[in-house]
Amino acid sequence: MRPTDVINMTNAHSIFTDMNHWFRKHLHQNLFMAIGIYGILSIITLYFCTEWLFDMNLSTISNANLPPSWYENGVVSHFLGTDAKGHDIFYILLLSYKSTLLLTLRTTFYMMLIGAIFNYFAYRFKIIHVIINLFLSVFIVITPLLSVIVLSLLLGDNLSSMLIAIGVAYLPAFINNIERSVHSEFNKKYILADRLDGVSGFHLFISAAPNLVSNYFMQLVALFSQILLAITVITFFNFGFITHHPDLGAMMRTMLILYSSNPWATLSACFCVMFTLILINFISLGLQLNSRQERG
Amino acid sequence: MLSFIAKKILTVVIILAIIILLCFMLNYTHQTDNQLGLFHELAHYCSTILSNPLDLNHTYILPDETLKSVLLPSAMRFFIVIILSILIGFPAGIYFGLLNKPILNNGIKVICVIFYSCPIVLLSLLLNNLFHSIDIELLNQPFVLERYTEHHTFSAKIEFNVPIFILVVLPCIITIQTVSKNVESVIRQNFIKISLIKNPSKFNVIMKHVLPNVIPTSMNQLLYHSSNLLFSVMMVEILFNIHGLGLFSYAAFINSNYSAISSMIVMTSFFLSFFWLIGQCLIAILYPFTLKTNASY
Repeated sequence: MRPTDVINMTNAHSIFTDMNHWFRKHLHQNLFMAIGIYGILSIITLYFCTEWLFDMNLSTISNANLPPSWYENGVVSHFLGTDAKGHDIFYILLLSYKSTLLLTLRTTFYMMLIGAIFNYFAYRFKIIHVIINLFLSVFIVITPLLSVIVLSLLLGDNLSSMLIAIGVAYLPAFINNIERSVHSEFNKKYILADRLDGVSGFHLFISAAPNLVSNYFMQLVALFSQILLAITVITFFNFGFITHHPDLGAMMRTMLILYSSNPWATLSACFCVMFTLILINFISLGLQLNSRQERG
Repeated sequence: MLSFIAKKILTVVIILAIIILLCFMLNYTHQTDNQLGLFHELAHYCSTILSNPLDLNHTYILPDETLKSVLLPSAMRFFIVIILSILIGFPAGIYFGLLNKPILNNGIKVICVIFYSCPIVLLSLLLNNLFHSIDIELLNQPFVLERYTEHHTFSAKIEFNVPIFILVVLPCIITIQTVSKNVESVIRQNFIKISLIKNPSKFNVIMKHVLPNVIPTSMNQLLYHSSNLLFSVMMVEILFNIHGLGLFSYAAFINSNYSAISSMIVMTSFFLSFFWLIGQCLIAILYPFTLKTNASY
């Protein structure tokens, strides 16, 4: 064995030890973080493996209006039963869940990008800051419902515009909260000391970034939660003309017909939204606890 | 302070001007009988809106309805929810922020997260299972205009209690979370520690130093959620078939009535802008020392 191999092995061992230490300190000693991270990991696994795990073929027609499998007349092959057309409700749920998650992530990503650009320009240029504030104030006073109605009437069956309308409604609060946290962080003494030393703006941001990450993630989680709830409720009322798109809100609406015979068809869609939000908010709570422990 | 208030009033005027312009464009592009020129139409639209913003007779959607009768019930619900969330959320948030028992604090946070994650539909269904007071079949009827005329048939209990309970949950939790977070960050400041050493009464320190620092910041953050609260009010109105802005906008949406929608946008914008303006002015009057901080946002 060459000396370089020994050094590489030692480095690999130390990286493994560091990772183990990090997992113990930040993940396994924090119950919220552990539940949230492992829950979200299982959702991601389910998202990518649904096609391998389940034969999601909605063209297969079975007996209509079958109850869930644990009911008296239930069939084991149809876990949540079947709808009025004989489609398996569990497969509809999986498809709708995947679609809703994708829509929410897309909207959150767009808003994150727009928010970052707005925050950057607002921080750099004072005049643009005023214009951006005015622009955002216009969005604050138009409720998301009305902006979705206007866009769906003007642009028709356009999913992206509806998502943008929902996202933009929640953007002002997101941008304002990020701006506040950056403002309070940049008013701290260590940044002032760095400024007096002549450190550039970019390096100031790099030194403040670790303290901003947890708050940024919390705001992102709040944005994701609000967007997911809004998408669900708007598609539940069939706004936006996205009738052909599978979605948890649309599923709740269509399954309400079966509510008296099979309440789990509707409730399962509601619980999917609820558990996703609980898990992602648990990560946020865990981060909050970790940052508090670090501050002492 | 006067310059701050004047600045806010100017901002509101500019916002409303932009919104009136946008609504006019929406209305103008979908009008078939544009007899006057663009500028004359705009002048006519502005004079109609400004002379009587609550007149809906020109929308032809519900001839007997005025926007005042549509706005007032929703505004009442909006204010009741705000008052309840302030009355419950502020004391609870301050208490939880000061609470130094990690297990209890975390337990409360978990309950808050669970309620926060509940979709409105799930809350309604659970309340239906609990009280058997809501007719679920209502939710399946697609023709809102037919339902719109039937709102008198529902009992006052359903029209008031259940929707208010559903509406209060989310703002209350947001208030509790915001206030407790702000209290936690304020009590870690050095001036609080010094005042605790100087003044043995904890109550006095909270009233004199903690609250004046917490309330303006929290109120400012909560004002950003007013639009979402009105959105929730409208959604609950559609869900429970209650007379108000939500059902009216749903009816306008189904009929593709652009003039009604543009009137709705103008009216909700007026309502939210004045609410925001009054909130900002109240904060400035009650806590003038925060003007410097607020001016930067």
